[in-house]
Amino acid sequence: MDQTSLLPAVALASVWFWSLYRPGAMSPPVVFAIGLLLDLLDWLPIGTGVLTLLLTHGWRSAGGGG
Amino acid sequence: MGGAALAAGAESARVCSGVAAFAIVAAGAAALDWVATAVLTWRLVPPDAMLFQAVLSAALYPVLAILFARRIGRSPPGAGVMRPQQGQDSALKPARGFAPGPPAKAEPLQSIRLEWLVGKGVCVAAGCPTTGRAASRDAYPLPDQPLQVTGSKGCALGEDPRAEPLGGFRAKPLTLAGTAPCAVTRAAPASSPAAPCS
Repeated sequence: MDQTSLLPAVALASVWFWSLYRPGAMSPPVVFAIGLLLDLLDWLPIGTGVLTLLLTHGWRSAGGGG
Repeated sequence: MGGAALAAGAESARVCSGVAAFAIVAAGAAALDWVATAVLTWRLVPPDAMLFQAVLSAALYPVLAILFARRIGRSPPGAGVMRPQQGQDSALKPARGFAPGPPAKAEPLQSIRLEWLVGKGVCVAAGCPTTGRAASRDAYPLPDQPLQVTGSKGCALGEDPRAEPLGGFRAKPLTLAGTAPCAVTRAAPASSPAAPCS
């Protein structure tokens, strides 16, 4: 288990948790920055992490996921 | 005994439901990530990585949730007091008990002053009789109330009561040297008329 495996999991869990319990602390620009950093650090195509995290954040902000 | 077991069971069920909800989210995110990667790179990546990513996210979430919950000083999600807060705009909003309110007790210095006044024999409660030192305090103007003396020849003040910071408790009473009648007027309540000079 290396960094490239842990990074998306940690990022997704963090975005989900803080979007659920601290929406003000996890604003869309912050989510965008996290996703961009994730793509850069994980050698992913630019935009995949951003898209995933922003959709997760948006779904959570819309009231999804309980 | 039975109630505690039921409560523990309910909390466990809530925690499990939270983790299950995040597992679904993690699976969806992994699938979306896989699709986006395949589209952007125009290459079909093996789905094992997607499955591993989803399982790893779901497995890491409870650990991270406990750490984050400790960070914000609350219990983990689904463990009783922690609830999702919709529409919370800021972490410093008073919805979490940081609202400034009136102090429950009086300030410490205030009680010390009151004790000092009581020790001096001054009634500090409402409805005290205006006799003795309290009456003299009422008779003297406070420092923020200007003393206005009408008449050119009149009362000579034995001591400036304004020299006393708290209204002149230790100031000497008015000594009248003049013979002409005078009146000391000030912004005083109507119940305490100015004492005429004699």
